[in-house]
Amino acid sequence: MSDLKAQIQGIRDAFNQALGQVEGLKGLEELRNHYLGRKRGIIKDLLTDLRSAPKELRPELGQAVNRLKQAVEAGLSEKLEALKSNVSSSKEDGIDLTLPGIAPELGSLHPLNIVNRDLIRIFERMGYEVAGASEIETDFYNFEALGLTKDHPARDMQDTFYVSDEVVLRTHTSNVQIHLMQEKKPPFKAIMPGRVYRKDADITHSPMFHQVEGLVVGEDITFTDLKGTLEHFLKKLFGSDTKMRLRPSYFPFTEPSAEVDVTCIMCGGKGCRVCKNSGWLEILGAGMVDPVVFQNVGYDPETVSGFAFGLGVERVAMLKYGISDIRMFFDNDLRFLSQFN
Amino acid sequence: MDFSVNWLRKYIETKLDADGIAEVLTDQGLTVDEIRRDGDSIVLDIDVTTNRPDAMNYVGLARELATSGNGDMIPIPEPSFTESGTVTEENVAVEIQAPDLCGRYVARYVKNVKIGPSPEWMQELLQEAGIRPISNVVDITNYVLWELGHPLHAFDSRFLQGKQIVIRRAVAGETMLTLDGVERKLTPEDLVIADGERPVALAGIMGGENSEIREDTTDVVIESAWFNPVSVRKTSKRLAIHTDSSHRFERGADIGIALKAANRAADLMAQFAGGEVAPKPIDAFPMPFAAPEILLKSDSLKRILGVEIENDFVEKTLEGLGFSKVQGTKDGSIWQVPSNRLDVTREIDLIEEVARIYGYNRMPSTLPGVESPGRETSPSELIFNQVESVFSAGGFYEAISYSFCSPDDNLAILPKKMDMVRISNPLGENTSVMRTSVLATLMSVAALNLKRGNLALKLFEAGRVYLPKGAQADERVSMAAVAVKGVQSRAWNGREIVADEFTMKGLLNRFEQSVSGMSRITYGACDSAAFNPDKSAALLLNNHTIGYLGQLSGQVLSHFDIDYPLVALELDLSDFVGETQRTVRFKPFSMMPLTQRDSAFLLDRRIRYDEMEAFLKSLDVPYLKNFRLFDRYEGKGVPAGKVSIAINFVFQADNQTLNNEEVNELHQKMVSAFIDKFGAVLR
Repeated sequence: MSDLKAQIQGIRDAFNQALGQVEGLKGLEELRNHYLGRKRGIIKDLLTDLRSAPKELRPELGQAVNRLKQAVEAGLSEKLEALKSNVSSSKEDGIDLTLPGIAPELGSLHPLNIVNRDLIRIFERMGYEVAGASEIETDFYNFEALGLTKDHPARDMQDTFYVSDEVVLRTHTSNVQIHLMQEKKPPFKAIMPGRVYRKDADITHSPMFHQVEGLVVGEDITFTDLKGTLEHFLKKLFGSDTKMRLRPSYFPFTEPSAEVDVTCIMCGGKGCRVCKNSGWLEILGAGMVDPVVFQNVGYDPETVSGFAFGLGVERVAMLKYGISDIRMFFDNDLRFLSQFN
Repeated sequence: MDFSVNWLRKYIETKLDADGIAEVLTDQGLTVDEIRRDGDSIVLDIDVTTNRPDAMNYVGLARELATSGNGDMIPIPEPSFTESGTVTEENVAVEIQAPDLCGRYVARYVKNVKIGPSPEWMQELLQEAGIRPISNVVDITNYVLWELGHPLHAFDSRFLQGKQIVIRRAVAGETMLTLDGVERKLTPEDLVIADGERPVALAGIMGGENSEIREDTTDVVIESAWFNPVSVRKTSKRLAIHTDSSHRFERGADIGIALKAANRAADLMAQFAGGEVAPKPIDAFPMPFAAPEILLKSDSLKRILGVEIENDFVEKTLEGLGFSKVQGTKDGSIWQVPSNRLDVTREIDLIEEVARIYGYNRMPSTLPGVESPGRETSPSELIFNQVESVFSAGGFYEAISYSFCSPDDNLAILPKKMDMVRISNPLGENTSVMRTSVLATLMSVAALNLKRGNLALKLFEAGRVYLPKGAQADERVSMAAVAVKGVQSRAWNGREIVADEFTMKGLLNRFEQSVSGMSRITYGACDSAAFNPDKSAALLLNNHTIGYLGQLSGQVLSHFDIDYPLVALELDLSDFVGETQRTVRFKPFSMMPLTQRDSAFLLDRRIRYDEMEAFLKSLDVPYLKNFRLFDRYEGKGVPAGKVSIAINFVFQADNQTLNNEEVNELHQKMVSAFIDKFGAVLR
């Protein structure tokens, strides 16, 4: 039995020596087969020899063989790691591929453009067309036609840049809704992305920002259609676990109107600093198109109905990327822009 | 708007705790933005939308909770005072001279009050809601305002000259010292409450110091009126005074509740200020309230909401909110609107009331059955997309700059006298005009980046520029790109990233290629002072200028306070819009061997390369597949005024192998022609 023990020690010494001399992955593989091969491996042979050892010694010898096997496996895999991490550069004419890579230079789109395209793509897949119009707009298209008469208190809600008494920088992309309805007959589904302007500047307000509005008009368009559409959209935008909450609200050009919240994307609705512990984030405004708006474009509100919604691209981008200061978007610092490619 | 939960519980018996109340109100459109707790006191900060003045008070909130089945309203105690002394009319006269602006004016006269603190419970409630207690009489007017939502005012009758109250427009030049200690100049647009001689209050906004309640006041006139919302709004906006009172009048107070509110205040004054209430209140009511009646058609709820709501629910809801059913017809039911809901004038308004009490979140979700042909990308969007992909793939970062800038920024880029769209109420001079070029605003972005040390600068923007046209503007699609000229970075193996006029031009060519399938732009003398005339070109399409390319001039760099050499591109995209998307057609290529020849020429450096190119093409040499400039050199070894031009020519036939002699002959002929044409010398 001491023979067998001595033999095991001899195998271990031979293995260690051979391991030290191995060069390259191929040599290592040969070594592995030599010791651990299933048919002719040295350790396999040892196990066979073990069967002829006295019964009472077998457990002890078995353990010794096992320890040898573990040592061989450990030695092989350590050597493998060492060889892998030092492949070609170890050769005289080798290339050190751990040097920095050199890619062709690449710029990127502005994060607002990325989000804007995401929004458009979601509605595009739902069969919406994309519409546009002037940013420098008449009072009629920006206000009057939407039911915002000159003395309407809601005009206070939107501090407006004026070019003249009758011409403004549009305060929303709703002017496109009016142009569209004047040009088209229902039914249709459309979205309207674009730049809008309000006289407001602080950490969450920019005098210029971007909106995407949507408008669906037809014979049987209902509030539940609005709900289903927004639910689909918000799940596509923020993920399928997103929940939506509607709160009745007031906009002059929709009725019934709603503010739409989504479960906070930071905390998943548990409550955090971003959602002021409410679990909800306000994300868009929506409602059924007010009959006054239909009358103003020559549609019959008794036969057609429709819904409209609008959201701020900056708001979505701020939530999505975790940006807390809206001015970041318009500073265009390259250290900011280069994070989105 | 802050509301105390303890105060609210005086009007509603409810099992809900503060969080429950907040949730219900939010679901009904009275969003609770915040719940603030301080010991036993809980305050709800409620965002009441402008159309809901009826909910800007405790009774209104209680009504909302009761209507949705979340409790029972507790009625306000009926007045219990006994009238005594001479009738109101003998104590004060009321005359409405502007019935268009004052629809109702109720006056109650309370004698022999003793001014002192209001009862503790009242002070506590006021304080919880953030209102500072002053004295019993003043606190009672505030209390009733928050309880019923109707703004009241109390005058010390001693100071009403001639014992008169006149509701009139202010006379031009008239002034008044308001309670906040500010001298106000009035105009005939302003409605005032005056006595026999002078204004004593700005109607519906703020009282005057000359008639305010003092410590020794004994006789009080309670005003409970209804003022025109637009008039109150105009005056409060012009004078920049915003009060709890103006907030409600601007949005439409309840004309029907004026007498009740006055009686409620008189009752509280009798109880807590020891006052004696004069009989027969004055109630001048030049604009009697006629409740509007609205037909709610039986199929309308389903048509608009998409959900079937039981009639019982509809009736219970509208009645709970104060509407009364006048009659049922075969089409539906006719509902009478209460005087506190002047926002409800149409059927759709009734539908909204039912919907919000029913609960938006209870309704199912469906999708609209509109078949749509789907979307076609607009031509200008396609062009923008093309610019964006070419330039971002070319290492440029997209910027989005403001559409407005300073007039000087516009002029720095397009110095020719040019009209601009001016904003009449800009945030500042720096944002007072709409940009006439994209570069005008992109340069500010570049300057900011350079100031912050971002020297590897390559920026572009595709967007609109705004040129005056009639009352509005010609909003043209345009783009600009800018880069710091030179080696922007160098890799460890020596590879350099360079930006210069030609890398910029390369991207311009790629853009053109992607849109038109060819380069059509030609290069002319640059007439823009924004560019260095020796190192730039005007971009011409069909002989009109559509942009500029090259190094920016020192003048423009110093205007934007930039110390680095910049190359820039400004391009009007209008001509590319609607350009048919290029359809790529496969061209078969030859499998025959190529033969190449190189030639270098010395020639006058003023000769333009596009002329050489055009000439070589015009020769129409057989089997010449293409040619390429592979070196251009001037300096040491080349005489002054000359330049060395080296061109690589590639010959290939479609279906035969060319032999050397053939190629040599073609090449020689071409070289001789070139030498003759340009006075060149073969090197």
